[in-house]
Amino acid sequence: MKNFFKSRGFKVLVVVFLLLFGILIHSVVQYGVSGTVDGVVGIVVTPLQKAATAVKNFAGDFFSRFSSKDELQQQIEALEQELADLRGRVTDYDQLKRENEQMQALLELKEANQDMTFQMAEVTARSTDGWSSKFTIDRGSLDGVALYDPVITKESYLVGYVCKVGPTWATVVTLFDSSIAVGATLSSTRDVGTVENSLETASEGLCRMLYLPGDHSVPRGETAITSGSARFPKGLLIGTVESSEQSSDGLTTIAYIRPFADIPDLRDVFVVTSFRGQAVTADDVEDEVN
Amino acid sequence: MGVKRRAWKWCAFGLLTLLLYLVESALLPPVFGVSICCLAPFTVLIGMHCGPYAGAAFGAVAGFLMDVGMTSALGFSGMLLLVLGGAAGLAVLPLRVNFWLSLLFCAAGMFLFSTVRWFFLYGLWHAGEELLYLRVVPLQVLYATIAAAPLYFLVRWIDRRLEPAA
Repeated sequence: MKNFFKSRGFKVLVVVFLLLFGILIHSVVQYGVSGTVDGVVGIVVTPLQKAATAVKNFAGDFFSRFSSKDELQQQIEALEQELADLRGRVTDYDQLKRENEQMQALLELKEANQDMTFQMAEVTARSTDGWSSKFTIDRGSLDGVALYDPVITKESYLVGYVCKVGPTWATVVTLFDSSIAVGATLSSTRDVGTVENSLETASEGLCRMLYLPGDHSVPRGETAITSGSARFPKGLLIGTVESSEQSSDGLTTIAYIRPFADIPDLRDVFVVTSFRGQAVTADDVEDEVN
Repeated sequence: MGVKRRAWKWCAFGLLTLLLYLVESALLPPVFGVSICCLAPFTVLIGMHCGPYAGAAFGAVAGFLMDVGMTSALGFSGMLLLVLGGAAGLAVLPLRVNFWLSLLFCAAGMFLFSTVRWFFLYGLWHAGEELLYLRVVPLQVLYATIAAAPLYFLVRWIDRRLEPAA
């Protein structure tokens, strides 16, 4: 073993270790910007990840056809029941009124989205460390994707934002990651808070909405939407309130929100590459956050 | 002839590293909310079968791949796996490598790897969530140990098949 520490190979390993340490320091300082080395590695591995994901999706689709007959029958019965309920309720005036309001909201959302430009992307890989929720997409700076661009589903459900950009790939931090922070509003009460997360709530498929007024509880089923900032456009749907509780100091209320987006099973997403009121540069976003 | 065989061996291990990275990042779904890590036990096995230099070198590459795009601490996993691969290679110098010893080393290696990553990348910044460590890390160690079983035979097979006779 003494020979090992005196050998030329050991010295090479020390140099490699120090090199990695240098890259580590550089990457921590240059948050969100891919360096030359990982940029190039990302260009090489992203198409391979895309191919592997395509194989996985194909296999998943193939085997899903073999669901048991009983299971399908149960699903049909449940759907028929649901359809009958919906048909009954559609004649109800309140329902019609609510539908009208929903349609109005949808129309508003569509009108609000007219100022947005999108870049469609495919999920190619997911984080594997167990305590972060990030995924890689197959679009990068060459496609107009920039740091802090919001990422949504085709239904305008918020997924997260771009936290790192390479030339042909980008990493998205999702609502289930503990580093997420999104300014949000509750749709009916207009209470404003911040959607954040912890590993504990994320493991239950929920997010936390913090800093809500502490003098009243939040009704279950309330919808949380983005409040609008230089980082996120206004009105993106985040999720519904499952429950709420007083914070430990009793000054604010914490609402637990189930995101609309099916984040663990996402295949395709849309990167909002520009919207009205968006920060021009990543520095502007950081200024706003700070 | 010997040099050529050895070159093929390192090529095979290199391709296996890339393949395992693709499998763990794009193919394997999380089980009970915890992802399966194949590259850490693979690094330990390379170190045990091929020596500390190979273990450290493949550890650096595997760790770097794990970090690409996924963390702002690029190079951190590379440093950890470099040390882990090298240490595994050194630790087995006076020992005879067998299946159970390999599983034990892989489990211990994964435990150290996960613990250090947990501490520096998560635990240090999120107070009050220490109990979650007990939920995530034991599962990661279990999955890595299970993954190590087929990897042991694969690494041993490649090593014996393509290592030039002394």
